[in-house]
Amino acid sequence: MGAGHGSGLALSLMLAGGGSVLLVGLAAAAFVQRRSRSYLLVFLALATLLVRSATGLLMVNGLVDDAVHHTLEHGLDVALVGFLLVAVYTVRSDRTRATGERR
Amino acid sequence: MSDTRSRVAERVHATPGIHFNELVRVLDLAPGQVQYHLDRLRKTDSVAELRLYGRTHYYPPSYDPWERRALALLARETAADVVAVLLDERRARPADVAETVGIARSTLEWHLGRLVEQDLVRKERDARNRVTLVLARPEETAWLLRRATSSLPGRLVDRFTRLVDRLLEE
Repeated sequence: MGAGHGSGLALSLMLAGGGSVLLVGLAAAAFVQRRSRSYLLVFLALATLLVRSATGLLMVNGLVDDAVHHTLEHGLDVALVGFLLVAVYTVRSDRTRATGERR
Repeated sequence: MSDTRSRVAERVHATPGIHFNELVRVLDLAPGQVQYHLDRLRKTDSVAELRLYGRTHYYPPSYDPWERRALALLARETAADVVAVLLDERRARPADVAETVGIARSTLEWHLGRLVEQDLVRKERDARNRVTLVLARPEETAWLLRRATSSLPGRLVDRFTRLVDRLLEE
């Protein structure tokens, strides 16, 4: 199956994969420092990008079917959007907790 | 002293406050090797060690405990920016510092938490409980600020949190 995809796909998978490893690493380090729900959600959102590249690699190597891969990709988009929306929505409650107003 | 050991010692003297991972990275040695030489250097008092906020930093022994804690914090790019503004202004309100540095209030408060805890910055409150920020020891802080160096991974994490705090705040 690998022969069916051009070298352009392989290159973009490598670039996206490498870049998302870096981003997810930064997000993980930031979450470890801040320990807030917002940072956890940002980390999870960026992690979906990494999973996206991983499923792409699996497909190129013929380990995952094209149709399954397509569904997975759009499922991951839903997850990414969801994580970011929850992060934005919960900012206010995180802020009040951080300043101790609720305790 | 072995060649490798003097390289470790020289690096610690050139970049006081360097943390373990960064030392491994710049020297391009195995972590176990760096650990071994650092242990030996500490036994002969050639290098001092400080664990702060989950990181282990190394110093020439001539730095006193306050200076060691200050250098560890000033290696953070954003904390150094905050301190630089306070050096210029002498005393400033938190909102003005956040605006001058260009960071969200949450970013400032997170760094201030550590700067106040380690006695680099003091929060003075007036009769109406309004906070003014002042440096605890401005002259020593200015001197240390020139010696503090931040690592590339550290700068990237700092900038990532700046961006996320700003995006979520505005």
